[in-house]
Amino acid sequence: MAQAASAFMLRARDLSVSFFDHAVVHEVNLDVPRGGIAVLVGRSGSGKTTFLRAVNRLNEEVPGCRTTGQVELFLPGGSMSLYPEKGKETPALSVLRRRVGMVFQTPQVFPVSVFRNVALPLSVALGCPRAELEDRVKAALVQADLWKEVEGRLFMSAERLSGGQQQRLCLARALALEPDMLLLDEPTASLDVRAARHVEELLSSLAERLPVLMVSHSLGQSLRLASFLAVMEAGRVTHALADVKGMTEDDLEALLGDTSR
Amino acid sequence: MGDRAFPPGPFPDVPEFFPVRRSCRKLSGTGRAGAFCGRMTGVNMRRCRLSDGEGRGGGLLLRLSVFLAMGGMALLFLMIAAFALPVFLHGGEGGGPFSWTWSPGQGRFGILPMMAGSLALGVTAAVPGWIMGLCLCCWLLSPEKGSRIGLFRRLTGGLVRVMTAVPTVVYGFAAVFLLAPAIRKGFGGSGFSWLTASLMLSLLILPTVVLVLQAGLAPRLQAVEMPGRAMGMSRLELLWHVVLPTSRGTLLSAAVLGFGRAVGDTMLPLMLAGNAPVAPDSVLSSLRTLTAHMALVTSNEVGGAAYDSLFMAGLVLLLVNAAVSLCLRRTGGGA
Repeated sequence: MAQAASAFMLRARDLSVSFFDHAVVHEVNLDVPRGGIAVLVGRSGSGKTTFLRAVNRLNEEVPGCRTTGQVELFLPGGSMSLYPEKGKETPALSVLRRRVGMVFQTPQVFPVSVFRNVALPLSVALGCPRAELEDRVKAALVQADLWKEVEGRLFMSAERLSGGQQQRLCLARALALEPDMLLLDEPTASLDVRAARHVEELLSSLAERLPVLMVSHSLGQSLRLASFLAVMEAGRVTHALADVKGMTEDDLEALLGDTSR
Repeated sequence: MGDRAFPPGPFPDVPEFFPVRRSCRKLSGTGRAGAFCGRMTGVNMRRCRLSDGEGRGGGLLLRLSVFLAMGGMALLFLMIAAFALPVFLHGGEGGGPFSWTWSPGQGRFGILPMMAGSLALGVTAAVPGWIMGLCLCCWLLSPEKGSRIGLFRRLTGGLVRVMTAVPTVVYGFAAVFLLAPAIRKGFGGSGFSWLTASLMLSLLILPTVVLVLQAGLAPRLQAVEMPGRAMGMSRLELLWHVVLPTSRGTLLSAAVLGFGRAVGDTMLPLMLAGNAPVAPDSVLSSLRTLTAHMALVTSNEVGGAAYDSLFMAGLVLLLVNAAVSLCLRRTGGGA
């Protein structure tokens, strides 16, 4: 049983999310296998981001949200069910969010120094002792391939970094907390092609040791990165593909739009 | 805060103009204009022409009111300065307005004790008022359950807004019967003292401070809310570690505005501070502020040297307030 469970990264059962009675995700059932990057694609407004945010319960920070159904995560040390259900324990929000890191669509750095951007969550959310901070910040920046670029200006405002650097800083910030899973919400959407490729390469190397669930609306990127691909449309998962080898963007485009045509 | 993050979708089966009017009505401030826009979609020439005429009349009205307001302010400054200048240049016997004795019987009209009183009271009201306001604002901005703002918080927020509209004489009246006797019993003295007035004044400036802080901090908090919450940090932690250290301008302008309001208030010091025209030597001693001084002397005398020195007091107050708003401009630009 335990072995069968660990073949998955997450399982969603009858997951529905609505805001002020306007349903955004409808009764989604999805098993995401472990290993590599799982990608959710779909047109704007198809509910991808809301589904992603159901995995760290971030939807609840938005007024008027109602979530039903269940999401089960398989992390090191056992599975956890995120939403209240009879006979099952739900993890505390702060614990869940520390174990499941997230990077947003637009780089959302804090308006403080580069160093403090990474050190702050470490010391506040994780209670990391002061003496260890420097090493852990450096390790996180190295992982996000940013260390060489910011080594000499750690105490410069993070807002003065370029967009691509800011996004890698956000990644470093998430990685510093040593999460067991990574959620990415169109992490390259606001970057130029080169910066986007840089982040993509970084993600594929990260995915070798960390389950990654990513939302994308770039079909090319989805095909490049995905080891598992789910297509969402109007709040429902319409296709789940365990293998995307040999697919072209046109094939995927057809899957995306086959009901609207 | 009340706006919804997810607007309802398009209304395919509703006539075209309907969503416009619906959404306009939601924005309470522009509700009338919105309704008007809705009606304008119909071809109604008479209404159009009428609105053109209104536009021209409106422009004239705007200019007229700007002219009146600016002219009034300029006249006020000119008059105060014109009356104060001779006093400033020639002074009276015994040191003129800038001396430490106010004794009209002996022809001594020093207003320095009142200036000291205003400054002392302004500072001792602004500091606790600012601290209380900051704490209250942080509490209001950091609900534990993210999506829902609790009833208690909403009530408190509403109460703070109502507090801005309470006439100061009501605070004063309540304090005369509640706070002053308590101070008298607890600390001795008459109960009408620096301490009494500064406590009430700090309460008076509290809503100003809270609203200024909230207006400045809320958008900054919102900008870091999602990533911060996604890392398991609470709103209070975000406020403390990220928002406050980067909003020095807002913090300063709240303090300066609170101080300006405390220095400018007349009714509370008049009713509560005891009004002895000497510089205060302890928090339980009586003091007189410039504002209370002006009110007292104007109600007792007409014309004469005592009256002249009031213009000096008025000029000082005007200058303080001008300095405060200049300060605000500076910090506002930097924030």
